[in-house]
Amino acid sequence: MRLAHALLALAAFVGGSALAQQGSERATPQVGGEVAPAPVQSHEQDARESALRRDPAQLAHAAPDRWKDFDPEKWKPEDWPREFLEAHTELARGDLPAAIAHLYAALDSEPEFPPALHQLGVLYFQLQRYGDARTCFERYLAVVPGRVGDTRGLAHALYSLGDYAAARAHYERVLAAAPQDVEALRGLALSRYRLGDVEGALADLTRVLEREPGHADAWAWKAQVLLDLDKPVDARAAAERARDLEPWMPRAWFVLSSALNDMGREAEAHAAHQRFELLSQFDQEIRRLQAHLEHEPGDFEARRALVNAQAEVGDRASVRTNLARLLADRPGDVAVRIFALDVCDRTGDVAAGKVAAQDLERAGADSVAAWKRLETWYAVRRNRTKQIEAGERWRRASQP
Amino acid sequence: MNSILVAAFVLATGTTGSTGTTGSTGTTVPPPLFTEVGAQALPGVTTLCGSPQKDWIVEVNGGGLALGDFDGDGDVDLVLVDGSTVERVEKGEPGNPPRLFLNKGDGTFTPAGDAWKIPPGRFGMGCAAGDIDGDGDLDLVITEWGRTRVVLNEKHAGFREITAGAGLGSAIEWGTSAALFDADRDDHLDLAVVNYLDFDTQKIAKRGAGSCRWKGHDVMCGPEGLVPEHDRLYRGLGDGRFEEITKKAGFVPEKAGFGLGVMTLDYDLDGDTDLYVSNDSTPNSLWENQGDGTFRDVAFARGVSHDANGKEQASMGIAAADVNGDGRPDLLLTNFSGENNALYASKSNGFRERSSPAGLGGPSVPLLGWGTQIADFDLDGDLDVVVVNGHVYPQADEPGTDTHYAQDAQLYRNDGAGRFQPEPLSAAGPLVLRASAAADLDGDGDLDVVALGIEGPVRVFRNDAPHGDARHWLRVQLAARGANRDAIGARIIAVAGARTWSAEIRTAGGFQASCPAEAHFGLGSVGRLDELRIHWPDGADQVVKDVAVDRVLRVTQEEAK
Repeated sequence: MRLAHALLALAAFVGGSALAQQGSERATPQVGGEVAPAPVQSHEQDARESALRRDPAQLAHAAPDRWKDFDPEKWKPEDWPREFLEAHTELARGDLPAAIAHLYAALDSEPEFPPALHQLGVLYFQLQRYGDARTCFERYLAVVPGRVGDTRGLAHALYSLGDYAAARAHYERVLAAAPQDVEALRGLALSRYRLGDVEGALADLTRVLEREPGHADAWAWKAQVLLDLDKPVDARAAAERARDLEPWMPRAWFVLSSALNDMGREAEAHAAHQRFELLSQFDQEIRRLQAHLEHEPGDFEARRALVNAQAEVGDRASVRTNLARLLADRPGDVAVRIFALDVCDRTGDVAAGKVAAQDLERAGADSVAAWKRLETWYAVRRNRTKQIEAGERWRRASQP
Repeated sequence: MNSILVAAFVLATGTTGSTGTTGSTGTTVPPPLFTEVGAQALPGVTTLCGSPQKDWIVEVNGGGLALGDFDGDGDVDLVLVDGSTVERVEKGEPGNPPRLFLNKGDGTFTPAGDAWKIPPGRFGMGCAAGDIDGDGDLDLVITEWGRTRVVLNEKHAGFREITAGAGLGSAIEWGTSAALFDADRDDHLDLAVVNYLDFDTQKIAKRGAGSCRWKGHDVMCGPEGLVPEHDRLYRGLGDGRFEEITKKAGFVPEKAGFGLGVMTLDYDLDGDTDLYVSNDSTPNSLWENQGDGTFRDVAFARGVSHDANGKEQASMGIAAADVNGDGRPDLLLTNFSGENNALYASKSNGFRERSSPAGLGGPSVPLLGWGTQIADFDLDGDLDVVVVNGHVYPQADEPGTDTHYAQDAQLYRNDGAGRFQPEPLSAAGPLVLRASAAADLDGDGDLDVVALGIEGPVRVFRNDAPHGDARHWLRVQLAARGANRDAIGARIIAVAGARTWSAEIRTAGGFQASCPAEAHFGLGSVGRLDELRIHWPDGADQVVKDVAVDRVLRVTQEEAK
């Protein structure tokens, strides 16, 4: 993997929705806050927890000018610190604490290795450790000052720490270096909004939407800004665009209801409010589970609960991502594959369902339950050939 | 400035007449407006709230306080509601008793005598003060993790507990804040009690079991994942007793919230008193009085249930005052770390969150706010904000939390254009504070602040605002005709030329606190008011003309015409 690609992939982590995710930061109960047995502590867990206790400000410095001429395009993968590559492997598995442990090891062996500093900043941001994220990005910029275009994560961190003036200034620096960065532009809009520059925020959000008309979160923010400008009719239209793009997003319904209220359309406002309330409950549960899984990525039941919650609100993209993780964690597990097919059925995601059905056929070749489920799946899809085949396999497998 | 408090200041800081320090940029940093003089004002007085390591959520709210003139001598006394430990509760042992401290007249206090002793309860939380039996003195309602208690003031001579016959029921609930107000305008004070959650050590994991994590750290569990308790509303019978009307009055949300704070206000200026309830991690409620003492939750429609992102916040304290000068009360909510404190500015049909443009949002993000007051602390004619802070998790001092357990208490000074600049409240440094209330403790015309720590010493922040031609003030106390003698629910508008200031009379202090039933106006350079317009709780209007300032003005309601 080329470093540029790696950075691009990392940048996606600090993408649009992250800024809006400043909901409750209260503790997340593992099992509803009820009495539970203490988890078994393994050596690996010790290493991960030890890494989470480290302070990026204490990382060793490189020799002066060590990274002065750093050009990621000139680095070959075989030249990278091994631990950095292992961090990527852990990241692919979704194990953020393990990835952080490897990144620290990489930075211990190759002080201030820029991609590791950057990635550590991204992961800290993901874990809502905004101060540590800021430290990492600032050190990254200190060693490679020419790469300011990579550092919208620093502005995101400043914003999340409540320093909106500093965030705005840094977004402007990022945009000067990388004018095409839509997420930086969106961040700039939000910083302006927080600082009371509502008109400036509206102009920036309009530019975001000109470049990316399908940006649901930007539509929702535009609706909010329009509400502040006492333009409820325009706010309603923007909120409806957000809702149509991501109907599972509570915020779209929230702003829509507020706009309808301001327009005096109480019955419609009430209906939007009801939808908001329902989605908001799921959203709270989803955030709770996501926060938990960031520290305990292997908790199968929690991820299964997350899939169920995301399926309930119809967020197919997130369902697919987490189903893929579940299936990867339990290769050959027929019950999980039946669950995957059930979820695809519930969400009406036929494309993903086809893949899940093929996977179930492979994993459940000798399973009565698998073929029974597949027979139903194909019947509903009116695929007679596959339905008959699955029915036959079910009957054969059922015989003693 | 009072001479005794000057002496206390010298003891506390070793200097007087500080003009500020020089900052790193060479600019002169003015000294904090307040000086923490708790060690002199309340020597040796401490409170308790469970274990220092906070293994259970019931250990993190701290106690409560009420400021008011309990002995009728004209100055502001202090009631402290103290806590206990979970172990003591489980052994059936009582908690620490609530205590009255009498003001010596100079902002220092002495323990009240035996006649004022209140028996210990289970695990004290907050309190509300008001004349619930209409006999002209301040009575008390005390919330606990236990039963809600009623204590009557015997004509300024002592306390008498009447909980058993007060009609509040015997259920063990976790009451946090309470408010006394006249919901149905029958001239008797009614009572709202805000409840938090169903706390049972047999059902909830203790910290250390690995069951609850915050930013990767093992912390006490809750409130998320636990069961919230519904709040309660009681109609006052006028003799110290109450009857429950929670359901009858419609004071039941679709879903219970984790209630922490309560504020009385007439948000729609229709003459009756509405209620705002802050909930932890669940949407907040604005209970609109329907005019007859029944209520409807209109928080969502009025824009005060969630923040501007549509997210429920973990709200703690509440303050209400007319910050934007439109004659309607605005609301300030203190919230959990990672969330900003929320200023909901009034508009014609509700509120709009204006925290960040007002400068109250960003600086509050790393902090966890509790008690808060909106008042003109520097007497320059506009409203400032005080917020006391402190995290719920001692583990906030671990790596990667972006916050700390002990935090600075803050003064947000209004620049006159509605934008606030934060500064440390005092030079006391970071503390772990909870409930707070403001009152003029030393009688010098500016508002001082009392704050409880999560445990340990009580903090008294003496206001050292300069006085003079540009720093006028007026304290207004009302004496209504009927049983609601302190006129809780009255609205006062002060007028000087084209300028107006408005205030409501209340004792609700937001979070587990109660404040004196009076209006305080900082007037800046206005040395005389054209008039005071008083809208009494019974609907009558009264105007007092040509009002001298820099004094305590007591206005008695005119006889009905």
